[in-house]
Amino acid sequence: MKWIPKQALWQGIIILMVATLIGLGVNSFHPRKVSLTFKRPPLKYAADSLFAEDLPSVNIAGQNDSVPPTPNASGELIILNAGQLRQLVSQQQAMLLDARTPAEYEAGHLPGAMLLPFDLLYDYEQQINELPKDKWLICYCEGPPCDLGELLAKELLLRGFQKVAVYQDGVNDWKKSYPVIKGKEAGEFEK
Amino acid sequence: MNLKSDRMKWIFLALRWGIGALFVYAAIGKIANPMAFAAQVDNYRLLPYFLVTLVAAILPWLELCCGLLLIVGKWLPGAALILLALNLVFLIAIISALAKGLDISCGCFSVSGEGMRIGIKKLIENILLSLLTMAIYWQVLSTATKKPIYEGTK
Repeated sequence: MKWIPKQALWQGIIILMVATLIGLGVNSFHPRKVSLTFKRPPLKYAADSLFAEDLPSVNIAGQNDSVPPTPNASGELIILNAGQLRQLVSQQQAMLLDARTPAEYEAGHLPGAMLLPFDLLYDYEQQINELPKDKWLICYCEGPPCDLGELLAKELLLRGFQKVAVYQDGVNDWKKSYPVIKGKEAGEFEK
Repeated sequence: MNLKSDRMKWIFLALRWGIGALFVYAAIGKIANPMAFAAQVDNYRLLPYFLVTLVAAILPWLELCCGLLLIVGKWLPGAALILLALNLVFLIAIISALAKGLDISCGCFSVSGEGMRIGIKKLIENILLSLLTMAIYWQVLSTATKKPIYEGTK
């Protein structure tokens, strides 16, 4: 018996061709389609105007939207850059949530961040219930390709928290410019 | 083992329907959100981005077509061959992710990532799935009668 007889090979090729035509065809008008590009698209950071209510000092000159959009209304996660994160945290308008494991947290975390491991959420129900609803909850992890920060943010949205954002660049990006805190203590966020 | 005995036929039929339904289920979530699936494929850091987007657009439909063919029992050699190849590719991707220490969602059955982290458990699941798909492919080849491609096999 041949392992790949001609019949199987030809049928496989035709199935692959049909699936390719259907896949590319549907993708062309799919509302959540993938763009067939060669380069990974850059992260779409949230507009500064989103935080205008929390940060009156934020310069939104030149922005057309005079009314900031409702947080997470579109269902897409809000992604922050380090600058926006620093402004929100230093103005005490945000809380940092580390979605990684306890060991990774202790190896180095953002100053002032609280540990809330996504893979161990069942052990942190009390901490979740005590999270403030009037402050931004900024979730993060290592940085791409780690997606724990996004997953934690989605979980918090499902649980009714409105002001949720993701620092998707993560610890790897933070360490390039700012120090991390080691150990179990959250540490102080230096303005 | 007499593959043509009634008992073996029923066992393999149940296996074929089960594996077929599994792949149809796996395909649906990815078809609904190709963008999220592309992000999960990209997390493995195995392919250049252009191939990531092609895989995200095409692979779910390939799974759906082969899963349905397995269920209805048409073009079984081709469908089983593709699913076997896909399983082996997934296995290589999981082993690669584990070797690199990537803490990522599998992207196997859901684009939400819940409860589907890459780990030893996921590796064992994929090995089992690969073995079952291999068994189906072997049974299909062993019991196939020679017919033109467009008529498939019983």
